[in-house]
Amino acid sequence: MSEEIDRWIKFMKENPNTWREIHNKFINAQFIKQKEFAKRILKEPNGKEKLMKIYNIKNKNAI
Amino acid sequence: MRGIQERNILDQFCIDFCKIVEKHCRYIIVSGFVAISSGRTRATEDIDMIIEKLSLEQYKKLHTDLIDADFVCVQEDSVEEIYSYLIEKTSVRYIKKNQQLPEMEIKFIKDKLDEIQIQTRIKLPLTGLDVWFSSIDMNIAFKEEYLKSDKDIKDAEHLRKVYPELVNEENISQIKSLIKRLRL
Repeated sequence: MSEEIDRWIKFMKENPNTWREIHNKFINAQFIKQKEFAKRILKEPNGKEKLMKIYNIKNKNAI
Repeated sequence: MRGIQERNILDQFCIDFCKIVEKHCRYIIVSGFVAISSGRTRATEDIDMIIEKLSLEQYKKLHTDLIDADFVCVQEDSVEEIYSYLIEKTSVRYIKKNQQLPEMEIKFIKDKLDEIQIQTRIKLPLTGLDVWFSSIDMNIAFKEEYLKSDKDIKDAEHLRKVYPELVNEENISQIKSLIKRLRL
């Protein structure tokens, strides 16, 4: 059993009105960071090709 | 259900996608996103979806609706090619155009287990999402018996603790037996 899971679920149950905001920020952070990273890569030479390779995107029209 | 201001990026992507798929066939969201939308604090790049098997004509309509909503398949533009992947039991991935993540990974139903998953699909009010999920028992069984990575075991543990009222150990055992018979 994982102590961190117990701790977080306890927090969820004790804070039903606030846990979601913390959780949303956590989830969003990944995508915000990725978007910033993609912008930087796109500024590099062959940036689009690099990005397609990183994310395994075969369809050139996707990005 | 929660208000729009409380949605995270992953939730909104899922809602937008599911609204379109819902018009064309039955579907379920499975695996990691079930745990994450139920409060599990871990990252993911994709959401896994299983949909009913469609004919090419039916799939073309679904694909067109997805394209009209600014989704794009990362493997191919040709709907015939995308459909052939699905028929060959390969998943296809859609993203929002010009955004590499998150992505929706779609598969057609492939066996009796998937059919049962669709038949026993549920909505989970705690997630705040009006979308269809495979049952908690199904998710736990797949994660403990089939996927088995550290991440999956922790997802299962999280689901057991968040939804004790939905967990039926006898049902989980039966699903695990089916997984052994059909998938392992």
